[in-house]
Amino acid sequence: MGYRVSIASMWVAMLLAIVAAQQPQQGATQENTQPGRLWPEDQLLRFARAVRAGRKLTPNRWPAGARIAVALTFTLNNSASNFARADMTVDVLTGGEFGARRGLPRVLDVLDRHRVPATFFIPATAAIVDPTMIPEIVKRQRHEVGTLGWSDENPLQVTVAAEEEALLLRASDYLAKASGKKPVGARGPSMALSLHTIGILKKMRFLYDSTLMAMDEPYEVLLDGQPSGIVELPVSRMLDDFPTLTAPRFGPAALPSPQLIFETFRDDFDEAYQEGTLFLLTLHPQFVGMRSRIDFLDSLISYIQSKPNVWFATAEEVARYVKQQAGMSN
Amino acid sequence: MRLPVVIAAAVASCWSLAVRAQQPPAGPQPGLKWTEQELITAGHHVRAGRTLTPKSWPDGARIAVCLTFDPDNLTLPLLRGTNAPVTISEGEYSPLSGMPRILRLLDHYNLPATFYVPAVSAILHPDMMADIMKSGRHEVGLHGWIHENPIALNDREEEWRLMSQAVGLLEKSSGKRPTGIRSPYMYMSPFTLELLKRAGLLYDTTLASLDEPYELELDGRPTGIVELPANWLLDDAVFLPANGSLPSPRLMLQTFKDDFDVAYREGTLVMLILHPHVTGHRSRIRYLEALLLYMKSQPGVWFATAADVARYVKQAADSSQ
Repeated sequence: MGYRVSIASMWVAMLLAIVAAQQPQQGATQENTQPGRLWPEDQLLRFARAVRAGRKLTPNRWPAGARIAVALTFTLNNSASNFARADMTVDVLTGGEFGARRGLPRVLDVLDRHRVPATFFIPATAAIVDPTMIPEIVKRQRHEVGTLGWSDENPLQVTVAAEEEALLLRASDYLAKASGKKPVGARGPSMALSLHTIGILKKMRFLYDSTLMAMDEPYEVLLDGQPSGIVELPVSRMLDDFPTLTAPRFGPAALPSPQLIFETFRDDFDEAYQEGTLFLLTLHPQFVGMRSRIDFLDSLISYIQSKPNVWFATAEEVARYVKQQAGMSN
Repeated sequence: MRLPVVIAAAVASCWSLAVRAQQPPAGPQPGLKWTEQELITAGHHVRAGRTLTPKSWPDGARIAVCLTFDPDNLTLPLLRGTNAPVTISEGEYSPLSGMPRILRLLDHYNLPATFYVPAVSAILHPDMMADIMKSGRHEVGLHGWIHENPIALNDREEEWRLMSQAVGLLEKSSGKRPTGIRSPYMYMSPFTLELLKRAGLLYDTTLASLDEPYELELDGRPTGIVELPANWLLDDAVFLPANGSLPSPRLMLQTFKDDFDVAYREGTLVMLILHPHVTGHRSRIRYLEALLLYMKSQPGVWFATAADVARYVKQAADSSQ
């Protein structure tokens, strides 16, 4: 028991350490760990607006009279962030291998059974190490492949914009070759964006990002207060299996009851259905693909399908549709 | 060779953090040498004085219920000096998505609430402030200038500068001078209570000595400040966030309901501590609605702002003397 608790708290401590490392401690010294308290109002406003939420993009109506758009997205990161950190701990890497060899096939089976499309965000290194994944996804002819950096690297620790851009370009080229289509959607690797990322996506002519969390519906990202033309399909930590359903050895695992977690997914869907917006789920095949969880995914999709007028789509299809309906330029 | 060493050091430091988290803080334990008088001086610095639950609540109600919300919004990352996009977007969820849902729910049932707004939240989202003030039912209270940690400040005058700056800003943006505070971080420094007196506040809602209203004492003397205690068991941010201990809104609200049932029997006060970025989510708002419906279905429940409760209990206590 104590052992498990210390593993859990170790993960919390590591997450805290990672979060702390992500943050530019401007002018931080031991005496001043709360620098923002000294800033005048205009400095606060300027600092806070670097990357912000712009106008809502939920259309008046979804295609074919649907009430709601549903995008099932999978972060297929496996062990990519371990590669980025050159962490070759043998037992930890087995979690990524499980994602490729058991998690993904189980997820693809469920999607096949329901004939629904999905989006897979894949770091190039995960695809290089397990080269059968992308062909299996592409074979279904329904799914989309998006980027997750070169190796699920933390963009806040890649401090040079040119390096971040080079990594994303290399990743995009690799996925284009492996999947036969240039990716148009990006999820921030390590679930993070740097202050440069949106500008880089714009320059590389990406259609959308799916990493930010300011709303539960599509919106346009503002860059330094100006509309960026990038569609945001927001994620939510509540609609993600990572905080709660990791395997104890590989992540935090706060409440390893898939039943309770999927209850929240369903409740969220119900409210989204009422509001008529977007339900975007973020799952990791290495976690949701475990035997005790996969049937809950199956049941959730059945439940959603039992409701009239639901549009299942790839994130790309959703982004294209809302962009066109909002009359955004390309 | 260097990389493995660095990794080992990182893992070791995480381990030591993890181990530390399970134990009382290490280091010197000077209190072991304190005399009884020193123990009493330290233990009685801020204490609960007389209880202030009135003989009867207004209109013969059996219980008072305060719905309170802390729109921390972007303050924590800005305080720490970060504007990393994902972190900022999580903070924006509260004013852009959570608050509108919560205000709609309160409007629907015509319920009053209290919002403890860090001044910087009011600066960055003036529309949110306007929405709070629109119905005329709600109260705005203090929650620091930028959600600063008063213990980490460890500086009486800096704490006072931020507190008085926040009073001025909230008075300007809400049109009314705040009379109550929930201490930022829900922490109080050794200076805080004295500063609340200096600011002329009516009440505080940060401490937890009792689960009913009481008067705060400073160094053994009554302060005249009402405490409407804030029990962390009734705080959504403890349980529901991604790193929370029970991320099931259904089970958490079940606990809140159980708490209400005993408070109702005892005839005291329920102080709910909610956050728009936590309970304002789609998967959670229905459970809050169910709890509100349950409490409304009981006879004699007085829903009130914290300021109204504090004023009432203070007057009732003063007039019974």
